[in-house]
Amino acid sequence: MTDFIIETNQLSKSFKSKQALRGLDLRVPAGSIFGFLGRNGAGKTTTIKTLMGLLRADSGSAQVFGIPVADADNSVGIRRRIGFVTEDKELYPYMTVEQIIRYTRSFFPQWRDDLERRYLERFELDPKVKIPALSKGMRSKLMLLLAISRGAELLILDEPTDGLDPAAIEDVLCELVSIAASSGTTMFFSSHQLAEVDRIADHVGIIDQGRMVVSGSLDDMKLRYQRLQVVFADSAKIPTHWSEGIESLRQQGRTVSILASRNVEDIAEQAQSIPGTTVERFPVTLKEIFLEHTRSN
Amino acid sequence: MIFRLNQSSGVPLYLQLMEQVKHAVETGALREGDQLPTIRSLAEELVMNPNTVVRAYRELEHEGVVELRHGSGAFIKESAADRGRLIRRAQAVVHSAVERLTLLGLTEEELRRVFENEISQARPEGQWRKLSGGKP
Amino acid sequence: MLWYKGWLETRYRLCMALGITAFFLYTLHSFPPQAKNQIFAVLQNTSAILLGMICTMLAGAGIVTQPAFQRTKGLHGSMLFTLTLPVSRLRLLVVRAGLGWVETAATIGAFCCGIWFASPFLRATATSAQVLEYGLTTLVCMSAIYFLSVLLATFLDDTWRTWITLMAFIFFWWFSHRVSLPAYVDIFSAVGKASPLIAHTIPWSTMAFSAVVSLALFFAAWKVAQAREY
Repeated sequence: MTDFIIETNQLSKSFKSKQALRGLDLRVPAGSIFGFLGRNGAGKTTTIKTLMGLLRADSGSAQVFGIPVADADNSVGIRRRIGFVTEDKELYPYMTVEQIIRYTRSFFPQWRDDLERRYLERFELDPKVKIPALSKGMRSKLMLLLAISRGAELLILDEPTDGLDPAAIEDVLCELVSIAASSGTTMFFSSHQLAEVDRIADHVGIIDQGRMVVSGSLDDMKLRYQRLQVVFADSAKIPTHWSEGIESLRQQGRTVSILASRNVEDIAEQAQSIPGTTVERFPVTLKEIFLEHTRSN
Repeated sequence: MIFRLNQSSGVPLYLQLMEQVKHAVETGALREGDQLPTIRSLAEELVMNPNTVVRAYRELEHEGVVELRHGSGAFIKESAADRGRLIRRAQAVVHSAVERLTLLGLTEEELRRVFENEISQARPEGQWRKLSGGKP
Repeated sequence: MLWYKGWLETRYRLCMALGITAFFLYTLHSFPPQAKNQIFAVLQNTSAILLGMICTMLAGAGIVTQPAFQRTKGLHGSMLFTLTLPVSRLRLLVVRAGLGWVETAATIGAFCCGIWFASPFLRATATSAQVLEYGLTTLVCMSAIYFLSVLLATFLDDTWRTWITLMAFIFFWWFSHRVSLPAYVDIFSAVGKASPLIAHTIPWSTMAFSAVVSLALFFAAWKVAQAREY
């Protein structure tokens, strides 16, 4: 049995104005870095809030560490083992850096003093500064420090690099990778930045309109998806029915551009069997996969 | 050994890493017994997922390019280094062929077609065995 | 460290509450009541209103609480942070409601001691033990108002909560003067004409009623806090 540290089954949640989640199936393998991608309003934050016990799903189930999140007492126990970064990086405006560290530490018996010291230094956080005096980037880093120093098995990060400048983003990604390498902590992060996800995620899940449209190992996805550029001798020869596996097909004159998510060999063969065609194959980027699955169809 | 990966490309990172290691062996930049960076240090240096590095190293071991010694790291195998030397000799052969053909007046496109024809003609006769470290 | 955080959030409110109390006591001292009916008036009306206001102010116990002087932002970000910590909502509610209640008690205590020193007439007509009884009575009776504010704080933001509690308080106060209420319900009398300082007895039934109402309101607050979605 594969070890999923987060698992949801047909999770559904609607609010007064809209249906946020429509039967979401999410599986996050333990020890992975999972990039949760989706457009604004697709349901990323709703999913994360449900996992953290802030919202209750209408139907379906969600488990973290194999424990159902629906039970309030369980939820407290689950949260004790998670390092979390909120979407808006707001903390208490009346505390200093030092105060909020002490405060947060009191809830986590497994707090890592060594990590706290390390990140205070690396992120250049002055303990005496009041939180409102910090820039948004510094607040994000402080939240990360608070999340990581808990010594948790799982990190759930909602847009961790939001509002950070490129140098700060680099710092943050570097630290996340370092943690993954040294402790095997699972990381689940939602992001708009495909470039980041491309770099450090080994698994991705793309959510669109409340549903998981594609998910799995990023490397496998890149291997499975291919773009075929087929030039026909005569546009009349272009087949009307194609083999399975085509996500999209665009035709311009005698050229047909195909994005296939599987079965590429059969599709290529079908094209090549028509005399006079040339077939070229190109790899597909994560961005193309993302756009393909999230643009309104 | 400096690795440069294109992290936004459609080619999976582990494949890119493997390609670069194999290329380094072929050009002689990596020799038998040379140690690849540890998983952790490479992941941190390139800011990439350590699992990806693990996968690349495992695949390289599967293909016989490296040997994973438990606790010590990944080392280039002698057979891979030998293969690398063979590739370099092959490169020299192709180099002189290309030189001569260019003197004959062939364009780059024609050169490419000539080579591809040769390869695809040879294939159906089964002359090309699956290459995974054996000598022809 | 939830108490610590609560303290950081409410210490200025407490100062304000004590300040208002001090100001009131100063006024009392400058125009001391000379007769029984004047004390009666002071206790029944002015102090009841004052204490009601104080309860309202100090009951920022909702999980929806926003720190003072912070712009209203709908769902306050730092509350998100609090709710994602490994604490149950019950514990959050208990600490904040508890802290506010302690602060209310402290203010009432200050008020009672102050009233004793501010009015020589009172010193002449009541014993110091009765002042303590008065303090206790006031605290328990005003708790009903306090916990109403706590309940409202679980689903309203600070501004709405304060105004609605105040409206409710004034309405009931006005109502109690219009209609003759049974003794155990009339908390305003309990801090006024029926209080230990005037009637020289402890209005146990009113205190019991208020205690029950307080518990019920706290329970309701807990249920709302538990059910709420953020």
